[in-house]
Amino acid sequence: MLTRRQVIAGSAGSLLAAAVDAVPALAAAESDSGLIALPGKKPLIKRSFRPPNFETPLADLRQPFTANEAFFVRYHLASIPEIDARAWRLRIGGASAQRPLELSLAQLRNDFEHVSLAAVNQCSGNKRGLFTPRVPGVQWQNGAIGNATWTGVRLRDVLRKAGVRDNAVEVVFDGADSPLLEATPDFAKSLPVERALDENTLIAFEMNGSPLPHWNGAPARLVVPGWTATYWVKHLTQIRIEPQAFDGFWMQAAYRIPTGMFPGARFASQENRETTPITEILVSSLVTSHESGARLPRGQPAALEGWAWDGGSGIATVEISRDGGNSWQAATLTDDHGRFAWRGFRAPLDTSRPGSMELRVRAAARNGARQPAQLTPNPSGYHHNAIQTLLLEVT
Amino acid sequence: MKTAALFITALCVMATGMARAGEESIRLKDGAGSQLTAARCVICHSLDYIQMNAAVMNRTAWEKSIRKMIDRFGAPVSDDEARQILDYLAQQYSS
Repeated sequence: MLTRRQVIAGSAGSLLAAAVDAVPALAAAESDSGLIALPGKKPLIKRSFRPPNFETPLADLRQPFTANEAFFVRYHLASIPEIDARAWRLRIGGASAQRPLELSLAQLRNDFEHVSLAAVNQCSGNKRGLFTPRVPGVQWQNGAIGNATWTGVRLRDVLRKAGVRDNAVEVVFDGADSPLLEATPDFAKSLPVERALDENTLIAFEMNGSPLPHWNGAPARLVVPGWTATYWVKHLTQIRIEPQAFDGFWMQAAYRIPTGMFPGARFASQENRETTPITEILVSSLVTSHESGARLPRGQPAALEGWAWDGGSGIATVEISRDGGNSWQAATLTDDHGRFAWRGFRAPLDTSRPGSMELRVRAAARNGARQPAQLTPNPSGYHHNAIQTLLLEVT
Repeated sequence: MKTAALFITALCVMATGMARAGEESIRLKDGAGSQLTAARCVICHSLDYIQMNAAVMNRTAWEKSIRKMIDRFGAPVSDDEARQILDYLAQQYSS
């Protein structure tokens, strides 16, 4: 008789693999660390099971490019089909399209020029869980963000094949994920037509050189470098070029900030006196080498490292303060993968004397924007880009 | 038959050797209205949404949230049920 251990080690290996395949999509496995793995993902910080919202742990944000299996997962709606890439079709139409068309994945890959670019994908609500006073919503900490190389085709090449009429105002994007109730608004987003026609806006089918993972939008998703991830529609199935503002819930009621409160591109066709859609990512930074509270061995070389990013102007400086923000010293900028990617920084730490040190890190962008000392409260908890403070202890 | 037996064994190993975690493991606190709350909320989302937001919420915020679920997302909840759910969440999941 076989023992359980022999079953695992021996002939049942392939059966075990088959069983893993048979596990329903939302059965997740909990690791010793308390992190939970979705199928095809490594263990991540679970915020919610259904719809799945999973955050990347700090340890997985230390590489210049965030691994596909560690990349954060964010959904609004719980019906998320596994898509057969061969049967998938992308329909392009709308009242301002001259020649509506339908593309298979092979046509999308073969009929248009390929483009690769590195870009940060950051949820609008990244760090919402760090707001004071606190704000309802998915309580993300630092990990609703990642940096990846996205490969696909230019959205504008596809739109031009469909023919963009002069009266076009917005382009609307819908994905295959859908609500469980008919009355729940489907997740669809729009872009101003000029942003849709920007050369950097892509329909991507690869992430870091591999096909898009299911949980990150397979087989194709929108990539809007510099804009928050709410616009990066996953499992893209339909694009509509329209002569008027899209009136969907996820544009007109959600993902909005008080008008005039934050810098960033304006979305004129969706703006009203009170609120306007969130658009560009604001300049921010994150220390990945240490967490606040970390202990540093006395006399051992140490350096503060992390990433700084913005909405696409690029990072100009990262500075460190060791005296509560009175004086600032420039950190060395490292990895540079383009203006939409995050930029590395490094600053040596003095570990010669025991005691605690309070460090502040602030980034400035090439457009002159700088991280603020205090976050800007807003009802939905967006745009948390306040200066990070860490307490480290040399022992 | 032998193959089938091995397959079942493999499934058992899966179930016992790896801590399966899923929304079925989530239990709301006991209290009047807990079953109704679980039954209605779970139609659209896992119950960890309630736990996740407890530290942020009070009665007023829960009322706003429940109205949003009904008015914006079409949750099939009657006014009477909404009152019971509000009482439960305000009592058990407020800061």
